[in-house]
Amino acid sequence: MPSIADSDAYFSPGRLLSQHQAALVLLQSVLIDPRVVSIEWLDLACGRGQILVNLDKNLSAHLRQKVRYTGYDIDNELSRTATRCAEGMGFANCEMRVGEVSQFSDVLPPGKEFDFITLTNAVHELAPLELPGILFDCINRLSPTGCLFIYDMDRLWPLELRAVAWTAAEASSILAALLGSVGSGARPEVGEWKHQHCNGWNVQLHRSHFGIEGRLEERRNAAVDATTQQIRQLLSHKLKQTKSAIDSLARFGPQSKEEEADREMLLHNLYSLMDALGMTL
Amino acid sequence: MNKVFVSCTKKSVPSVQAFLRYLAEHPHHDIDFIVTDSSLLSPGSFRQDSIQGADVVVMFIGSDEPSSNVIYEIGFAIGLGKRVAFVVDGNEVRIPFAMTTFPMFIAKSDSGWLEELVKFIRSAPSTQTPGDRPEFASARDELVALRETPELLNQLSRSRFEELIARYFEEMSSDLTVRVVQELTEFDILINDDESKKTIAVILKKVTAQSYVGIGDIFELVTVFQNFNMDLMVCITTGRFTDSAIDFANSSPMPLRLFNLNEFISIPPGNFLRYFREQAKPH
Repeated sequence: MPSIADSDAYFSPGRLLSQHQAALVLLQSVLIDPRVVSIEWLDLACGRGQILVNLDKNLSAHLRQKVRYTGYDIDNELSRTATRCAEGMGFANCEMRVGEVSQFSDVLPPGKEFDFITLTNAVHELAPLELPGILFDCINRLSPTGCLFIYDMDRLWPLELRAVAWTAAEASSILAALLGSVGSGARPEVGEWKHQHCNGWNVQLHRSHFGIEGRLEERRNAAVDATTQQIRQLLSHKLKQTKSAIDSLARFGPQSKEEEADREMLLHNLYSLMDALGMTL
Repeated sequence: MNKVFVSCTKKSVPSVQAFLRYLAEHPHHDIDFIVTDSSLLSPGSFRQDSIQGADVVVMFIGSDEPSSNVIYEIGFAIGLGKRVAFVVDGNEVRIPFAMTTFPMFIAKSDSGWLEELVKFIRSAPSTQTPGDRPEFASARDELVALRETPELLNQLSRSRFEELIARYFEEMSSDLTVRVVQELTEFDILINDDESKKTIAVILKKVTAQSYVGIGDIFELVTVFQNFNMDLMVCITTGRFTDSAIDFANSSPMPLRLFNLNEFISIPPGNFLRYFREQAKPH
């Protein structure tokens, strides 16, 4: 999927967001084990490297030396900022890979596995019908003890054309379809985060919880098909609901300032959902 | 009993003190002050609760054009439907045009303005504060009283509104098991109809009587509630729903019904249970 022009990857040198802090606590829990001498971390859709801000305060130099960091994002100014950030952290190894997120598994060295994969604040920017492939490739790239940490918001402000934000329940149903289709009995535990202006959600998927030995490649097509079907259903339902709300607004017009903002939000959603389903206006 | 909130600026403190002295010398048992000394000790401090609990708000502006803080307090009080009056020191005070329609008293050396101000305060209809709230025989009686008095409705706390609606459902039928939801969830009250085995989720939108609950709120409700297997969702507001919100709810395949307070208590008590059973989705 081409990058979203409205997207504005958050970057504040002085502030570590709570979702990034959560990811770092998970990372810390692995690194503090004296038996762990090295871990591979893939920071997928790393943006400007916001997760790395203040990382040196969260993880000691000793722990950072155990990290082999791979940042991945589209080739633009954002990833250059992330590179600068990562290079100053004293990681055992640091590399930046560039390309579309949907292509990440083709860009990375074949067979390379990761102990920790983060995908934060990015799911809404991924084309919904590319999401199954990306999610599958993420879990397929996990080492036997690896963990995939995902965090995203259920609505966006400022609005972004083409972005589709998922609720916690929707994310749960997508991930359940994915795990079920690869033959895992694991149920995704999706946590909800109450923020002031939106709700967030997170999930951690541990490869060791899947109950599947060996690699998953041969299950890719079935998994992508089943997950795509689930996503299509969700998109169609969201589209129907959005159209219905816009019809109501078209009939009566907005009656308050808030409703004017609602109209803008709904029209953005309408465009994004139609675009996701390959429909033209 | 009329409760008065006194707001003052630093420069107006002498006039406020004159006013309080006058009241001490001429006691009026039907006047009660929510803020007296604390306001004088820290002029300009904004007391949201105090304004909410007052029947009358008297703004002592002093001799300067009112500051933005004073104007904020005035707007807040007017928005809540309070009776508002100003006291200025002298004829030369510049008052914003929009405020000139409110009663204004000019503090002078004689006591005429004080008598007039007290008369104004006593003439305001008392809305009675929570401490003075009369006992109602039923939640229905209280809700009917609230419907008739938007000022009282605006003062009602969210938890009290929750409690009243829950009690109202209980009063309407002994077949209903009603629980105010304490957890942080999307709904406020859960009702189980013991006979039909149906579950009703109630969501309350406590806003001022003049405010709208728009389509965005209802869209969010529908999005959230599709994940719960409720037989009926009832959203009740102390304000008003926009036409778009009502239209959207009515066209939704989900069993969602919107009521403003008047509509809710207009459901005939004799038909209350049957009405909600009919609205719930069939099992």
